[in-house]
Amino acid sequence: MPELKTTLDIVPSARHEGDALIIAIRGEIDLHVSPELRTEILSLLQKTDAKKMIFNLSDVPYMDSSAIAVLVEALQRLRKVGGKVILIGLQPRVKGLLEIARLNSIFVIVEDEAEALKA
Amino acid sequence: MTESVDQFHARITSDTADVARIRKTFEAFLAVHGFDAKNTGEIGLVLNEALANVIRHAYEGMPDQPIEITASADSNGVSIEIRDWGKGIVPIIVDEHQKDPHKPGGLGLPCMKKMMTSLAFIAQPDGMLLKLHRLK
Repeated sequence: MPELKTTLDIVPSARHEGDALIIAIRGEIDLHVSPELRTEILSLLQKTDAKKMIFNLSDVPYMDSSAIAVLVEALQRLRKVGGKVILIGLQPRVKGLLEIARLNSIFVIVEDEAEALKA
Repeated sequence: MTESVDQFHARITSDTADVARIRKTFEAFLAVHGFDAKNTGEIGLVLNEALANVIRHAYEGMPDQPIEITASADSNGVSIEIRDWGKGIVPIIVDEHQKDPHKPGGLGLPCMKKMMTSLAFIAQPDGMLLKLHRLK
């Protein structure tokens, strides 16, 4: 499980497992930090040939639409190579936003990492 | 018989660092006025999205411009006004069903529209007034 170096507090860890890149995100993500998050995620994506990005959001109590846009952009890039984005550990407010934005169907949403790796 | 109406007022700058603080303060105001956790969360998100739009579009990211937020809550719901002194361009709200979900961005306004009972952008000679209302 090679660890990748991350540069932001809000991205405490990233690692490879098989064809998956597993990224943990932490904290409330709004316009104040989403531009940095975008840069970090796109940078991690460039360093890998992963077909699957798994975002562990269990430590994210809140996201706004700017954060969701970062996830959509990651998905957009991965779809070009037949990949997908999987979200795990959704807290109620994050889940609610995805439902309101009708984006819960474009991501694969599962409970935990084990399920995500099988998806 | 008069009904109790309480007011919220804040004047902030267009610094993205202020958005979370004002959202949380406003959510506390809503909770005190009987909004449940789900409604409080949704209205707090609307405020977040409205402020983000002002910062990004009206002020093009300049962090030191004024934004004024006033709100009143009663037993029926909450009314919110957000005033800025930016470009004053009324945005076009794309219906969420017309938006390609695979393209990033453009989510804020459709979400705001969906979560509020009414929403109106009123261009001012020197900026914009956004009026929002949500019934309980």
